[in-house]
Amino acid sequence: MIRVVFDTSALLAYAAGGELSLAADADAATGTAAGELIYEVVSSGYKVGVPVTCLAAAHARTEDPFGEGQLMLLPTAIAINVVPLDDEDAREVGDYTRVYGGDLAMGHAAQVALAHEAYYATMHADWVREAGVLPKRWPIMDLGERF
Amino acid sequence: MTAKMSVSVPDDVAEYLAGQPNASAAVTDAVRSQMRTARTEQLLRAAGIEITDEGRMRWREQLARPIPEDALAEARHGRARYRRASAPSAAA
Repeated sequence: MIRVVFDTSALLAYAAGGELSLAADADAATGTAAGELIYEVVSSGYKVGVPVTCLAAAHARTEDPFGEGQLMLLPTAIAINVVPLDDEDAREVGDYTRVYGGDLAMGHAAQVALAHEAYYATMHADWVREAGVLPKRWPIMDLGERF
Repeated sequence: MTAKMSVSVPDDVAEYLAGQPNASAAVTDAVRSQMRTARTEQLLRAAGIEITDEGRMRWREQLARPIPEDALAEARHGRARYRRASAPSAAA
């Protein structure tokens, strides 16, 4: 069962890695937060949902070998569920994509979160909330939030 | 495929398994859970991510809060029109 959906920005935070990352622009705090969320979901017996369009978008925005490597490894984990974009969901995803200014991966991520009734993990919590695709009180895990 | 194995377990574990309707399934579930966690740890280590108890607790608290009923109802209602639209017509 998918408990949390990672959008493109959440995947990029993960791909940047933690303290050992060699990526020049890596933010160790957000990478660690993404990893800790994955670990907590998995250790409680659930799965992390990764919309395939978000994975593709994250690959498109990752040029360093370290990040590329992390994105390649992630889907091999048994607790990561890469969610395809099916034809029957095209209209719904298209409507959400329009709200997100044409960002297909965002539209797909919202659709997967709603369909699986799962939490939404992102670096852009304010934007996701304000867009209004997800109901107002839908739980959004803000990976950029500092504690 | 399955393999038959003989293992030694402490008394309390043996007692628990004796009370299970399917001891093999109970052992398999427990081991798979451990495998999932161990493999995730490997994955995160490869990413240079060190898990902290404080960080896990932060997410555990958030994950413990269920999605509010009104939000779920709104989502189900909003998505219903897409399901209706894609359902095959009875007249077709």
